[in-house]
Amino acid sequence: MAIEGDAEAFGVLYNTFVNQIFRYVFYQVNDRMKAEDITQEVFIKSWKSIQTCRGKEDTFSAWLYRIAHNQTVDTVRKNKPEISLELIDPVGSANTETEAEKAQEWQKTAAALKTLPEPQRQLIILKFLEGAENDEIGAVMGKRQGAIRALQMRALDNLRKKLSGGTE
Amino acid sequence: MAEKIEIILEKCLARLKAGDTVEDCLRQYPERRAELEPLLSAAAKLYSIPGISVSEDFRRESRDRLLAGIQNEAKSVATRRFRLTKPNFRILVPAAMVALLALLFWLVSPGLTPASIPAQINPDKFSLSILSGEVETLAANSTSWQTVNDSGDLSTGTKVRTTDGGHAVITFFDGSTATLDPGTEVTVAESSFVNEQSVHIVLKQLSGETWNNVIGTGTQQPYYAVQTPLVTLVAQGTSFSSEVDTTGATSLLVIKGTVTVIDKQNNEVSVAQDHQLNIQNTLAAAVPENIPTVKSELSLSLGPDGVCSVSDPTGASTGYLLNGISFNQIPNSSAALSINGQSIQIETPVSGVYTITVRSTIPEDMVLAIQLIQNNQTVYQQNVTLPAVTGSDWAVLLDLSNPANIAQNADIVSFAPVTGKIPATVVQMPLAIQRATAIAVIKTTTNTGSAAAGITKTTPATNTGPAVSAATTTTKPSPAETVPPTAVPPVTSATGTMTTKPPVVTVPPIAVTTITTTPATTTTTTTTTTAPSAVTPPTAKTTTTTTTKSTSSVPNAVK
Repeated sequence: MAIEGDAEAFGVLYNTFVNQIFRYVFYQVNDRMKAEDITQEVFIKSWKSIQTCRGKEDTFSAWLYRIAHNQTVDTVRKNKPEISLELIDPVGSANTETEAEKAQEWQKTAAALKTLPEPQRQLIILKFLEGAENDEIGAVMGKRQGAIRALQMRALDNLRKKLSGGTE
Repeated sequence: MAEKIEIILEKCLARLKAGDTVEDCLRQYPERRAELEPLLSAAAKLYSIPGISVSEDFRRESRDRLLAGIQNEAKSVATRRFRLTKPNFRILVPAAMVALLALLFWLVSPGLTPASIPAQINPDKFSLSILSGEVETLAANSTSWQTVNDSGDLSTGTKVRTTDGGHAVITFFDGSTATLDPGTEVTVAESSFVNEQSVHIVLKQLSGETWNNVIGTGTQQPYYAVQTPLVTLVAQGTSFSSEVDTTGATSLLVIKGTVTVIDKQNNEVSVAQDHQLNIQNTLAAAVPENIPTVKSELSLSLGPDGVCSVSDPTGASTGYLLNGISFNQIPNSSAALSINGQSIQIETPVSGVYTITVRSTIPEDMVLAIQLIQNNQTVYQQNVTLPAVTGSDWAVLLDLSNPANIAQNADIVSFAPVTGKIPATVVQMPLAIQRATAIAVIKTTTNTGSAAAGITKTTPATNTGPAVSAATTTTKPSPAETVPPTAVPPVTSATGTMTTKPPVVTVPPIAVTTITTTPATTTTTTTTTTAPSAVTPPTAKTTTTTTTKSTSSVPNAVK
């Protein structure tokens, strides 16, 4: 019974957070299959290491994001030649003009994102694509609210320049 | 001094996220337009990027693989446990169980964002719970006020007012609540779920005092606003109180998060946590001030083996349910849950009997620490150790007969098991349940403790009084109630154990009293409680609330 309970409970956790983590990884690697692999690794690691991390993070989601970030960075480093900027259309097949425009816009943004310094990219993904609040971002990145606000401003400014073809 | 651009940007981003346009934001800061426009345009572009989800195939296959691995691991732990001849539970709690508990407690922390939305959400409905006294409503298409005898669901546009002794709670579809003090009149003006993502709630407050607790666990920050005759208070993940006097003047007190105040001239002031603001006419002369130091505070903390809630003498409650639902109806209260346990603070508690309900999540003893602080000094402290009881919870009654002089007047009246519902009026909205996820799993799958309800007295009691008895109280179940009582019959008596409790709790130095309890093996025995003779037993509250959902000593309505 307890065994079933463990599995059931972790299944609830998995269902709750899998999309968040997948999105977070995907926006960094731009490769659906790679993102799925990394997502699975994140949940395996979370199960294995939760005891050692107990009490060190503010929220479970912040802790998962950290695992996801580390796993993504590790994977990118190990497989650098394999991970290219695939620029997948995040809405799937673009079958209308509007969707095609959105896909194009995303591709442009993804290309610009890839060139941002890592903390700025991480913040942009968490705040604007994941919808996380500043306190959670602070917990993930280990920064205070003031630092998050300043970083956010630099990141947006930098992204804007990249999108308009300029440099930082 | 000009506001920092980082702060302005943050405010504008919150508005963009809530659905405002870049131009809307820029209009408010014309002098910073040049700096803001490029940043906000970039942000708007990011916000417009469509979402992405894992494929169903991946979700299913990955989940199955993951759970299969967990089950194998758990089976291996179970096998190791079976081989031991003399089990020691504390040592043998499998790693998986501890990890699961940590996960589940983490899960109910703020900032969590589940992926899907439940289907049965009625955003245009709200629930009105009558805590005590008389409450009246006026439907949008009606001209006469009706006295409401019981709680239930109402439609947006309905006006609600409390009489001089009336206390009520409005629960919105996302679980956010507004507690109405006596003499308060409000209208639920707007309640919608934009694109099934953004919570949008507007409460018009004509008079009286409301305590608002905004649930902010969704993927998008909710828009929760209280409109008073003079200003609009927009919450940013907040607990705050709003008081409107007969002239329309508004007093705001922010306990958690930030509230943006906007007047009729579109002046705007941001009021941060632990600050207050009094608005007599416009915001021009209003400056947020620090909230004066709290004179008295009731503080509760519980270890990681359970969850607790507290109901105040008016029937308002703050705390957590086992399914992760959090609620905060008591003015000036706050609650926090972490992997290390749970805490509840009530600033400037009102006089009367408080009911603390403790529910176990695993079959371990639970330690409830009760502390009263006055003028920055702990003036009263008790640690209560309660055994886990299968199918039952603990109700600890605490009398604060005179909070102005807590040291002389606080004491535990009694403690006894309760079954079924908790003595809190908590409406569990589908969206709130979805977002809270389930601590309940841990209870249903791991709470195999065999401790019977009861506390054994090992030293002569100096104070005796009536026990908390579910059988001697009356409640009127709400028609909207959805959680039936458990099959466990109500426990009508308990015996108490107190090893070191002094006859009277005095002023500091603190006399820390530890009440130890042991799992009882017999059934009903003589009822014994720890109430000082001078303390009024909690029966008076029951008589005043027989037609309501809330009493201080009886398991009550949980929807």
